[in-house]
Amino acid sequence: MIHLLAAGFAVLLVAAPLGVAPALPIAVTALAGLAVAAPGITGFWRWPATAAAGIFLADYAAALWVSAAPVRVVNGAAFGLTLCFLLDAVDLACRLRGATSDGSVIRTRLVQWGIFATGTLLVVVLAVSLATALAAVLHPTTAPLLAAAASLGALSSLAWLVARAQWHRQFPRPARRGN
Amino acid sequence: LTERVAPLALSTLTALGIAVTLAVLTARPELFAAALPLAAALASLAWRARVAPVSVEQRVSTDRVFEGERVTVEIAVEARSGIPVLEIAGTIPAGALVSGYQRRVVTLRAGETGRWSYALSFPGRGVHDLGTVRVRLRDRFGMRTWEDAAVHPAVVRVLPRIAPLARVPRPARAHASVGDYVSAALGEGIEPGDIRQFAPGDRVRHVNWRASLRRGELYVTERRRERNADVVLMLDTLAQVGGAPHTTLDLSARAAASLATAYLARRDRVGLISYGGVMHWVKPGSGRVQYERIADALGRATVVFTYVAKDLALVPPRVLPPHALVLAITPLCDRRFPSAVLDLAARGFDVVVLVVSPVAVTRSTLVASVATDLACRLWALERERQHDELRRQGLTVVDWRPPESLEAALARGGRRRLRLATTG
Repeated sequence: MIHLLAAGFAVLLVAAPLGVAPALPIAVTALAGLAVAAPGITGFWRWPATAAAGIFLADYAAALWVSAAPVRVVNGAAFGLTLCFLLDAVDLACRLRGATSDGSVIRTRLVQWGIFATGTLLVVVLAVSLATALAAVLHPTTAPLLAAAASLGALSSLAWLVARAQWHRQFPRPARRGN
Repeated sequence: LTERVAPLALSTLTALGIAVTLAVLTARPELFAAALPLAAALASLAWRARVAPVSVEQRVSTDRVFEGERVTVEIAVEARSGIPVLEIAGTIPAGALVSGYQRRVVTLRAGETGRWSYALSFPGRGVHDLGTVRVRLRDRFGMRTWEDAAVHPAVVRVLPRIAPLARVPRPARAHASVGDYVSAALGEGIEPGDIRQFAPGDRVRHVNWRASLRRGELYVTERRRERNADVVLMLDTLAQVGGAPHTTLDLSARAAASLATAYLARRDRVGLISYGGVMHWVKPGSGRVQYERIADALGRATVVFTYVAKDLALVPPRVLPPHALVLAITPLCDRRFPSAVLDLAARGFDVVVLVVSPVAVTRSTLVASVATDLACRLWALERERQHDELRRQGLTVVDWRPPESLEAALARGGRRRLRLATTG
């Protein structure tokens, strides 16, 4: 079951760039990505799936660059979500290998993917709406400044997250005593 | 619980790096948007998730089996908080065969208990600890895992398989305790020996009424004394050949267990000496408990390599009683063992050498070819010369060539025929 899900995500990732730019090189690259992903999905191996994720991203970037299509941020977020789910499905397949399991694991995973996808898409839609509103107010010359501020913010957030994780590792909170 | 970053986090980070790089190179916001879910999943690592440890219970169906028998392991896991993905793995000892799955992946709600069982069968003897259950919890995004090992003492002893033996080498000397060997001397016993006239002091219950009525005077039946003997099994743990569970030591342990069972059934006192890098012994004794002691020692017997030749003088006399029958079980792969056996024979012990042929054991692990066949034949000839040398020294040598049965080998005996005692 989990293999079918992973295969389904891989097919969606093949189809997405072709939907943007239906050209032969794009199709060939997408099929190459599928060929690399196949051993990962069937052979319970994470790294082919990771390599295939890289190929799918490159293919999607090439399709966007070649077609010069209008910006569709939600489609991009959906592509990222599918990529995320592909990696997660292959990881789960690796964990289920040689183990007995019931349907509850995959059911729970599907529910969690649904919640994560809905949340992410909602955030993206809100962000796009906010950006559209701001674009109407701000002068185009402020765009590089905004981009620089956003980059700084992203880097600072990343640094904060890493530092926080490191802090937790070094100074774990003492366990509570039971009554 | 030991916290670790899962391999999925590295995969996600790689994909995120590629997405961001391509987004910068192509200046397409869709790729930044594609990176967003990957970044969100990775950001979960900064979350300080709290995980309540799970309680694990394990039950093993038995703590003592014979080779080839099955043990059922039941594992129950109770979650104190909800766990998205929980991996549980029981222990598989080296060489054990699993029926079913020893790993289980489940999703548990708070307070829920997950149970499953699997069966293990052990082709070879040994002592195995099944007490460790490994648990791995995975967080909601799969970026982080917590690992723990629940340790419950669950030792399973796999005892050597026993082959029923109707006939075993008969000890040359017995002692006065009650046993199954019928002595030529008259005394207390069950087997009738002679009939003689009644004499003052004879017990009335020994009167042979049929003979007395026929002769018109009292006659009594005399009986033969029944004796037992001390038997010491000497196991060669200096060297072994072949692959587990069919090494010469495994075969020797099975032979020793079968012989011990047969002698104990005859009410003999049986002891064991493991002669190797480390010497172990079991003092001679009789009964069911003694079998358990010997089987336990045989289950643990292993080859410990050493350059030092062990002196049998170190063995206490109560372990190696005078006039005991010593059954030396050996593949004769190490020259120190025949020396020790000859030393025992020189000290007046009745010694029978049961040679477990390593030729057949080695041949079964090799690819059949003309060269293999020739080498094995040459080896067998060399070993035959070695056996003759031992026979010339006055020892009884029994050559056992598995898969031939031990009983057949004992019946065939050596060049100097074995004195065989029949059980039952």
